[in-house]
Amino acid sequence: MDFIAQVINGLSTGGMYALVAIGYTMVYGIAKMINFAHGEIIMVGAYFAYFVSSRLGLPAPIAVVFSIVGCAVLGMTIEKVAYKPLRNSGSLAVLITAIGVSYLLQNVFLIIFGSASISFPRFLESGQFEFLSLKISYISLLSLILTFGCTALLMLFVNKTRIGKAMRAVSEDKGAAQLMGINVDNTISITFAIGSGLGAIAGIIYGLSYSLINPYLGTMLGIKAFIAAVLGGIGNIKGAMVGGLIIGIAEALTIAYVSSTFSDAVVFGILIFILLVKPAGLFGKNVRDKV
Amino acid sequence: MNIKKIISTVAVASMLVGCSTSTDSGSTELSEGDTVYIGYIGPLTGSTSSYGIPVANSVELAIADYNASEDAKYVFELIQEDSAGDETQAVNAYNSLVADGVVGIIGPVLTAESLAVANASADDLTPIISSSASGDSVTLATDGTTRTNFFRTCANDSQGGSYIASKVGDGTIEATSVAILTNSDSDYSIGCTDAFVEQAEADGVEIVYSESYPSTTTDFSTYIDSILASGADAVFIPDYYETIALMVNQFSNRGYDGIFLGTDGWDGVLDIEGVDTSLFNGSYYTNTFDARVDAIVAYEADYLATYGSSTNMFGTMAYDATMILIAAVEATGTTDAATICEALAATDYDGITGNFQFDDSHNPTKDLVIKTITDGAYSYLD
Amino acid sequence: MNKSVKKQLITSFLFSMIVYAILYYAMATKMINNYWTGILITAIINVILASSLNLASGFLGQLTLGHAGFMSIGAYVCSLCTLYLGTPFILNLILGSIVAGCVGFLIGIPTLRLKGDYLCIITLAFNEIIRVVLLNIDITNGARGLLVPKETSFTAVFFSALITIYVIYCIVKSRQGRAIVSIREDEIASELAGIPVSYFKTITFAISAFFAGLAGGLYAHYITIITPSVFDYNKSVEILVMVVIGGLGSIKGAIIAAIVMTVLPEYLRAFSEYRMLLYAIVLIVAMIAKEKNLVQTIKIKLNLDKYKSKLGIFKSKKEGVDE
Repeated sequence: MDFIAQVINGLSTGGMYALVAIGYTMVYGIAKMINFAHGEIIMVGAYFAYFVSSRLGLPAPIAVVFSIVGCAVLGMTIEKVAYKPLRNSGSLAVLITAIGVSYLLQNVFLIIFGSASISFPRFLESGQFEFLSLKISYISLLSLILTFGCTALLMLFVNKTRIGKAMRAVSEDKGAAQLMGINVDNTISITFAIGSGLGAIAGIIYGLSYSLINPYLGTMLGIKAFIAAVLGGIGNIKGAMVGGLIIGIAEALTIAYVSSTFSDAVVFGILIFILLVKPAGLFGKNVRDKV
Repeated sequence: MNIKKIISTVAVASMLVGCSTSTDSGSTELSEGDTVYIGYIGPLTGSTSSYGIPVANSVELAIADYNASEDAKYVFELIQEDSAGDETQAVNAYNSLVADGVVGIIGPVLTAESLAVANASADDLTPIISSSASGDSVTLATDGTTRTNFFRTCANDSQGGSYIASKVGDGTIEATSVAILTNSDSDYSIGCTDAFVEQAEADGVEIVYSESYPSTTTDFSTYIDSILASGADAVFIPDYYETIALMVNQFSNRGYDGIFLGTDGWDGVLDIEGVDTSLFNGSYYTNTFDARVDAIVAYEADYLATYGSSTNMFGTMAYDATMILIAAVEATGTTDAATICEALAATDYDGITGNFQFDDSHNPTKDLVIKTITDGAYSYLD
Repeated sequence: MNKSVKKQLITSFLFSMIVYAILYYAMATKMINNYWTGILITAIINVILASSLNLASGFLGQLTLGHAGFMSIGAYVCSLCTLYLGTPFILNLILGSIVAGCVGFLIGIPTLRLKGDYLCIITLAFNEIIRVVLLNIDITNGARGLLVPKETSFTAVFFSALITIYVIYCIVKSRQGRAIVSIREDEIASELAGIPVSYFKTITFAISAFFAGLAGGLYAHYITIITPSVFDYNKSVEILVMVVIGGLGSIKGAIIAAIVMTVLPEYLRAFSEYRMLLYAIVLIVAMIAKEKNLVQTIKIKLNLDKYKSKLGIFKSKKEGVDE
């Protein structure tokens, strides 16, 4: 029973990793870049919701909507201002820029809100229900439902809609997609908007789960979520979700049964293992180098 | 590797030469009305700035209070240097303050940067008083002797850890089995835990669970489940209040109803913006002073009025640390480091947080107090 | 090595000796105070770090985010030798560097098969694992860190940096150096041209790690306390940024960038909380500005065209483009 309880613990953090990982995966799939600032988007999402709810005193649904829309707009803006000029340059320039954006966001929020942690508003009654002597908190459940829901919706969107089709085309071959009359710029913008919106949801879940937020919350979360995306096969939405859950469970089980202090090392070890043995990830397809 | 490189190197070198301000330390005697500089080193930016800023502000406040007092002999001025919590920057900050000719330094705030600065100060022996560097080894040189120029006004880690354990041991705090959670990335947390365990074993307190977590941990559910399973009726968590708040909230979500034990890092936990204070009911932690005295209440009100935010324990003790340094300068009437250090070692000062004297290891000889949280507010265990 | 290279080396050496003499004199006579001496030492340690990473990232073209990991190994091994063996400082420095180099070699064998972003991430992962291990084994004293005596002097860092730059310069100007650069330009074509790509990649990576270890040892004995948290991902980023700002594959660029990026923050102290914000903006603007006239800056100033024609590669490729 203890084992199952630990798996459930893992699933609830894994759900959050998954939501963030989907953002990474979509951006990587289409823009072919690691958006290092994605972790900071989560932080921004949490702060937006906090600001609207606690400082402006508006009801929770407005805060949530504002946070999601705000992050989506922010994501698109970052793409337009910082990444678009570098679209055709080497991965290093983009990487450094992304790191720059991540420092920028972190420090802007540090200056506005200070480095001290602040309490996140309680949108949700904290509590838990018992099921066969297993205790599951409402927030864990919500995080899992949202993860599965968002993944399902997103897969429907990507597979069934016109924009989704455009996204797949751009991810396959940017140049060819453009020749087929697809507006590549718009498609990339939409991708960033969706990824960042999901990041905002993850930020809100973070705030609800842990009730404290600070400007550094996104860094480690972002890196672990990225590992989840690589594990699942970067560019693959279903893979990101599965990867997130696996990382969450692996982490919880390491803490419970192996060594708590080495749990981070285990997560990074998984990443190294995957990259060396199956670089395309669990669900990714192998792409060969073209000469 | 050509002329350009050489030119640029020379340019940098000449820039450095040009920038150096050689301060001639001629006479060290002070005469009434002289301006005397006091330095501050600590994080004003970065993730640890929430600890450093109250200290810096309190030093400023103390200096302003002294300068405004009628019997002020000298005019003190503060030079603040940001370390961002980084050892290299702290050493740079120290060297910069020495070049500015400070008479003494309040800080550094964190233990690691304090060790780096203490080592860097071995040559010029500038007097340093830290109000928050609690690592046992900070006031000691590597060979175990006391550093002549380094003092602190806070308790050290082992003092805090063993004091709370002894209170459990003698039954003042009612707990029979204790679980311990230690931050493996924090020298502070490890130091407190070691002392706690030692004292608890001596007193026969049962420790049923002990685990470390990396500082990046945000989800403690796995640890909490294990603690609930272990049947501990008290949890000892030596860490700073932000992590504590993060953890305690999760403890309450999972239905833990035992008590919490902690060290002085807990102080400030109720001041987190918007925190649900009722969660912390039934917590006991060590503290260096009892804040129910008028002087501290007045200082806290003054701080709030000046800076628009509440201070913390480190800030309160930095206020005293500054006053102790000022008193030493006033008593000696000199800027000579060795003389001031001697005066500091012989300190007998009544500050807002109580009477200060330093022992042979330059730790304050004050007794600790146990602070508790009941009905969502601080109180004291008498 | 041809004559002009030799001549250049000799003049450079003479000039650096003069610079050393001037600086040494200025320090001895306190014209440069302790504050600036400290910054100079930090700056030169950063020069070693940037130059060594430049070898792996600039010349070999492998983007790594784990340089702080190698630095930490050098720092810890060197410090442990000082504390437990009591051997002379210079020997400890060399030992630390060798261990860092060996770790670099071992990590390099599997990881260097990866490219671009993936390599970045896997090196970051190794960096984190090294940090976690250092934090949790007994001999390193965990989070409390190691206290070591101060040994690093201006002379020690200056000559260490000189040796580092000299070795890297010689490697880059040698036949092997041309092979290294050709791997950056086009790995597959280099392989076809008969260059043992994996061999060169691993060796170069190990040399880069070796010098990072040297910088680590010097750092440890300058700052006198080392804790694992110093050598985290942010430190790796800091080093990479120096290399990138200085221009990938430019030896003097890396040197100047390392010095400027150490000295500049000291001037920005007054800005306090806006300092990191400014740093972030500089990063973004520098990258975008660089992209606008990218050809001169990303193109490396070696006589590439000559080697290209030898290898029969006329297609000019930008660094790091994913296929």
